[in-house]
Amino acid sequence: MLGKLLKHEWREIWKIPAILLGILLVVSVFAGSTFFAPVWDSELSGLGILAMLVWMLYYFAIIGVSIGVTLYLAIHFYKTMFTDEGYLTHTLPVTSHELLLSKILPMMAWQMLATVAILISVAIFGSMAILALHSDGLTFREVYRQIFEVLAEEGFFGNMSLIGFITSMLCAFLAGIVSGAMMIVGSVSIGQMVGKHKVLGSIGAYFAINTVVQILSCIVFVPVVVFKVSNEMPESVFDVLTPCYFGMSVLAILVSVGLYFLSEYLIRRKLNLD
Amino acid sequence: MSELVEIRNLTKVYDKKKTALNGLNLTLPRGRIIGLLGPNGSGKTTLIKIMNGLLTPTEGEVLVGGEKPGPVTKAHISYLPERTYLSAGKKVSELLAFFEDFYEDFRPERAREMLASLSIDENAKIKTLSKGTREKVQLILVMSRDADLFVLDEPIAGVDPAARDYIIRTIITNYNENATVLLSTHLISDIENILDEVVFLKEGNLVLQATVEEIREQKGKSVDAYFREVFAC
Repeated sequence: MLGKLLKHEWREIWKIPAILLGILLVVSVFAGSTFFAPVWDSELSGLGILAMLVWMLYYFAIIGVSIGVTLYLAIHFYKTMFTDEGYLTHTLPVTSHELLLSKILPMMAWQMLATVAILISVAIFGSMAILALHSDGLTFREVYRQIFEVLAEEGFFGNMSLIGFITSMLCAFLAGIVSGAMMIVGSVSIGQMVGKHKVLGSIGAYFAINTVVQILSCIVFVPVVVFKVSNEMPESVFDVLTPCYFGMSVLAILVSVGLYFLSEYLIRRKLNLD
Repeated sequence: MSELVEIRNLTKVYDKKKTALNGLNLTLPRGRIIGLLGPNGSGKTTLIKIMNGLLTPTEGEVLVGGEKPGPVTKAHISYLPERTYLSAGKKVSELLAFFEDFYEDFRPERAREMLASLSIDENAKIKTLSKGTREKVQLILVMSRDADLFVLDEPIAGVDPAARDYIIRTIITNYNENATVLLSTHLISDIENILDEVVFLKEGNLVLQATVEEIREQKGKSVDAYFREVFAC
């Protein structure tokens, strides 16, 4: 049944996030193309202002897409689980685990796609800027080849501290995807326990969980940093940041697992649709 | 076992203040059309929602075919809520595919036949249909299953008399004799002729469970007239 649930869930949600990500990529190309225009050499001062406005638009597009995708997924989850549509959702012959996973997995997939799309758009924007401003006649491929050469010369690829740091960043990114989805699911599920103000309850729960996670992060990180610095002077900043990011990942996963089981319990044992 | 539904000491209290069901005990047999009758606020919808696992009881339990509400019972109950649960962005054909995927007892050919008889376009999106047509689509989906228990919450409220006739006809034609139909309404005169049994609820308590024949013979009245007497304000 999980496969069927996932199929229908994906079909229902893919359009809006895909459109948002498409818009972001178009805006990034548009913003990047301003570097090819004779913006700064032109006697028309309006051109410079126009270019800056386009860059601002790009900046807001990144933020808008990031928030927009999360908000859309949160509203969709709330709508299909706890409003009139929930009457169909909760009368399907499926377990609460299957139901939750069918919501959480596409949510994670879209959050990951959104992050990747943002990285691609930054790469497009940055590459276009480099091509236009610093590398007369270079191609995209040559720009990236040169970047890799510089990184290799600086000992980037053999630096174990740096590799460890990047691995920890990657873990934190994946854990962030998981916890991002679980924060939505957890807070909306907890919000349903709040009498008549369920939406307000969900928003309150989101900020409450966030605050608790922040406090826990401080409790974990401060001793790690103090221990690292007081025992021996770290060789680089990565030696301090790497354990912090790994710690952050473990904490995010633990909170996510907790929120998953809490949400499943609330849906299975405490469901009360209006 | 001829009992399909067993309700034991079922209590539901909303917000620790309002008692919707008060220690209700009730059994519903197989193969009957049962009217769940009572004035507004008598607990009909609450009972139905608990049977379908949409509400958590404060106390007591409901067993359908010996099972508590869950995936097993949901595979055997076809439920028509009092509100529209169809996603506005979906096409009618997508809803047919959805029901076919999840309910083994769903009969798409039956649904298509009914849609055609009402001239409802399968390619139409739900949001383009009128409120009445949406309700008909929902009824068609629900009645196109070979379920053991059909739970219909106010299926004829708020529809015109012609649609009312169609709905009643659909219920009679599509349920099989081993299935039970539990039908909640306060428009008794419209459905009285198709009922085998009635359950009267008042303020969350069971007032009466009897066959329609018993009421007619013992009270010398129609169910509608007896209902008006019992619930006279």
